[in-house]
Amino acid sequence: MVLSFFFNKSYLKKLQGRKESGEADAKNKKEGFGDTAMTAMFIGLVSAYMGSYIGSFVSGKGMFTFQGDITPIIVAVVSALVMAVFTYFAEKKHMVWLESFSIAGSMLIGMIAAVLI
Amino acid sequence: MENKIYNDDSSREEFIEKYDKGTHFIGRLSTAVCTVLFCGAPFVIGIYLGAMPDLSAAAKGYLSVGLVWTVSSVVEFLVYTPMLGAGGGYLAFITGNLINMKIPCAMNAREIAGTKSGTTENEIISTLSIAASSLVTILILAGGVMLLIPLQPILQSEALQPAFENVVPALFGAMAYQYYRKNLKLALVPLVIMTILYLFVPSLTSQTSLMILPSGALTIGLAYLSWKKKSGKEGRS
Repeated sequence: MVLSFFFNKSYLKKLQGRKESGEADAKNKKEGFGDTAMTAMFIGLVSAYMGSYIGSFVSGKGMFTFQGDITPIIVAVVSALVMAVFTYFAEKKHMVWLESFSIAGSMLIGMIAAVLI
Repeated sequence: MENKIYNDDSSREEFIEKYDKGTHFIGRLSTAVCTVLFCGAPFVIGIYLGAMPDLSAAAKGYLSVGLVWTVSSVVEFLVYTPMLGAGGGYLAFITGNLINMKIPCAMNAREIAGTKSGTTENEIISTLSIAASSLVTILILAGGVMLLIPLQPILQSEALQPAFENVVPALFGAMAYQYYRKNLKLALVPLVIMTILYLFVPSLTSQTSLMILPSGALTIGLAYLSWKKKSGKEGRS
């Protein structure tokens, strides 16, 4: 919060160059790097967490002992599979309305999987 | 309230400038007020109830964990702010729950609205999505507080604890599918490298929020190389 108070404006201003080029690219209907960078950052963020779940299971209780908690991995996999089903129906069966419920539905089923394990 | 239609470039610029200034003013003011309230609450409660903690012991306790959290906070600010934008950034840092709610919410809203990152439209969509998320959270929390006693058996149920402990893996599993399937080549490298890192240095699993920075930087670097290669090819053709 404190960092946000002091640096939000100046930090975003520093990124302004990218913002302006992003707007220009959007106008030109050409994909700019700003959008790719944002997606990449998010993929990096998700990968950091996914890696930590695998690392915790494999080496969490001693290196390569496979004695750690496997629940987060199973939950993530179940959630991803349910998301795949939602995406299939939304894209292939044209049930676009499902998209609004896909994340919430996948999360709920993933969490139910955690209870059932 | 005056409503204008901004249909030419100069009035659009004027609107964006006004919007930006207003966002930062309201954002800073709300952040300052909330910081004072958050920090002041324990002192007010402590003084009012005559139960102030030993401040030197509290300061020592803060120092032992505060340094790690300070680094983590700086990393989170640097990483999350570009994703959230100005308005969304102020709101999200005040209301919290960034990793498990605000960031996925902003990314999902961006995906649904089809806005491009770095544009004013994206900034507005991000702010609206985070505001909606914050309001829904407050409503649910208010309902939860009012129903605390009847809900207690459910909330404290041992059988349901694994579900509550795995909200983030459930969220990231779904989001990972969405993003990985469109960028499989890009996603594989950070996933494999981060996994190897955690396998050989297991203590890092407790510092995941710090590991976002190298993981993000690596992915952005790879994305940049691939984007440059693609733009080069398009430029030549």
